[in-house]
Amino acid sequence: MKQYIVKRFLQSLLAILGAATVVFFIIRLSGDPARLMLPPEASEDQVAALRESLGFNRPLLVQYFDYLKDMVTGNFGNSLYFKESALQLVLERMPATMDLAVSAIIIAVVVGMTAGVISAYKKNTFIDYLINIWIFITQSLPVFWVGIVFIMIFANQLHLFPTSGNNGLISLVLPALTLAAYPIAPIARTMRSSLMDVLQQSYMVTNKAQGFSKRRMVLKRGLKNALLPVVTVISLEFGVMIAGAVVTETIFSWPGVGQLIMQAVSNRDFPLVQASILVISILYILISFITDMIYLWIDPRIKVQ
Amino acid sequence: MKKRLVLRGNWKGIISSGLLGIIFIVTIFAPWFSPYDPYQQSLQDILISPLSHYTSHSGISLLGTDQLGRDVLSRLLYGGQLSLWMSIVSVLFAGITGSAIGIIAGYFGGKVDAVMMRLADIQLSIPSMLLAIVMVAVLGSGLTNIVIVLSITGWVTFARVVRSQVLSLKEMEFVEAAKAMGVPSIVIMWRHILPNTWFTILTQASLQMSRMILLAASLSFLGLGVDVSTPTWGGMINDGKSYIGSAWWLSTIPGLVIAFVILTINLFSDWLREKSEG
Repeated sequence: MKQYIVKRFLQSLLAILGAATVVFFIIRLSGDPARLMLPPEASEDQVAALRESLGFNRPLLVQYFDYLKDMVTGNFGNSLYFKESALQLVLERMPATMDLAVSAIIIAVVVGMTAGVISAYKKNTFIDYLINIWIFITQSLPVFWVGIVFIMIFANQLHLFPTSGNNGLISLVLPALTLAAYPIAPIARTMRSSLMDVLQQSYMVTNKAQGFSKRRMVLKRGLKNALLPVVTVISLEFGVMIAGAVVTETIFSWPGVGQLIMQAVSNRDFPLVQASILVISILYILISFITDMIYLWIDPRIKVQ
Repeated sequence: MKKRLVLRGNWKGIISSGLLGIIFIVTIFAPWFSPYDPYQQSLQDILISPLSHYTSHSGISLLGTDQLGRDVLSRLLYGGQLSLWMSIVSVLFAGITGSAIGIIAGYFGGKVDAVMMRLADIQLSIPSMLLAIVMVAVLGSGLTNIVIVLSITGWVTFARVVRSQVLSLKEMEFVEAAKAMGVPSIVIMWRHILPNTWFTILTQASLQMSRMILLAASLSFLGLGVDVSTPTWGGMINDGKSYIGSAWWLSTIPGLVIAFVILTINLFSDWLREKSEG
């Protein structure tokens, strides 16, 4: 087991190195990163000065290793626009993004799992079909469109919630619902199929023969055993959500990392873009590592393998 | 009797391919179907609601006009042309490279496989939405660049799915037999392995198609799409965003169209998957 944890940990470190490498080369794809970071009207002198100060005139490999060395020591460079540590700026925005992503995943898990359990429990009934149709439809809706429709109905027409910004819990409702709209579907679908599989297992059939009520079987034994695949989907969706928050944050002017990325893109503030993407990727990789550890904890069979 | 059986197992396929056919025809021949010029601005006809008359001429605007007086229906059809075309080309690129890599990695195994799959892992360590945003930010947001970016975010899934199928295919007797007879690897991959992965590739392609439409629309929505005056579905939703208080149709209608198209494609992929699982 220890071997497995160490292996997974090293894999995660490698993934972080990979993400850092990809970001490094993408920023240099245009050939002249200094030119890229300045407005089109900037003079040649200004470009040369920036190239000098950010070290783009050094050999590529030297730049690459310095960049990795800086990263390890927590130095992600300075924002060109804010003239501050880029990492600091990203970390300041992180709590808002986490608020959003965590509330959204809670909504998605509660709604998705309930829907999945009901639909497996009431298999092939009207309510099962209804849930299936709903899942099918939510998977086809563009997130940003859902957000706009929510604003139109709940903010502009019914005046229940503010349209944008972050003023306490009430302003979190619409963005969280928007971000949760999509992942409900995969969670519900996985829950349904996994629970249906479990209910067909021989120990469940034995339980049935012993005269346990169906409800008790589903809730007490079935659910616990059906949870593993659902955990995977939840963690996967949570990772995607943190990245997908870019769109939701833009619609609702939610002051998180996603909004920061879009601002940095329009300011051509690439050191800040780079830092934001790296931080989110590291988080994304960590989530998948933690999921595997949770797995290890719930499913003792893995320890043996 | 037989007819009914065919229909029962395939209603998803029949309905979805019928609808897809209509969607493609209507958008490909957008110039014939659209009632007006999608670029024609008219100051007198700004934000006309759906189903009402134009002020500048006697025509009716079925789906209303936008903030510059352009006909929404016409822009939707032209926008569809571009949105669908972008995703089809990207799926083609991603599908061809991804499947080729998947077949090669799966067939040869060993170091080739390890290198290619590590490459895939590295790419997956950055969420594809963010990857797309940075790449467009660096490369610029032209049509070609968007297609490149979409293709790059798509190849990994093809490679992984195809590879896992090839792993089991290469143990099959007909592959073993071909190898024993000294058939060159490239011929085995092309003549014996590829034809057996078609279903997987096709299913994956239709799933990716809806993903690409959504991703392309998200990029346009974030202002990173093709240039602003060219109609695309995501761009239209973005334009309408500023008018949600006064002109509900601007964002709502393109969103519904995207949802409808994706629903249809998903229905089609569902049917393909059921077919391939037998």
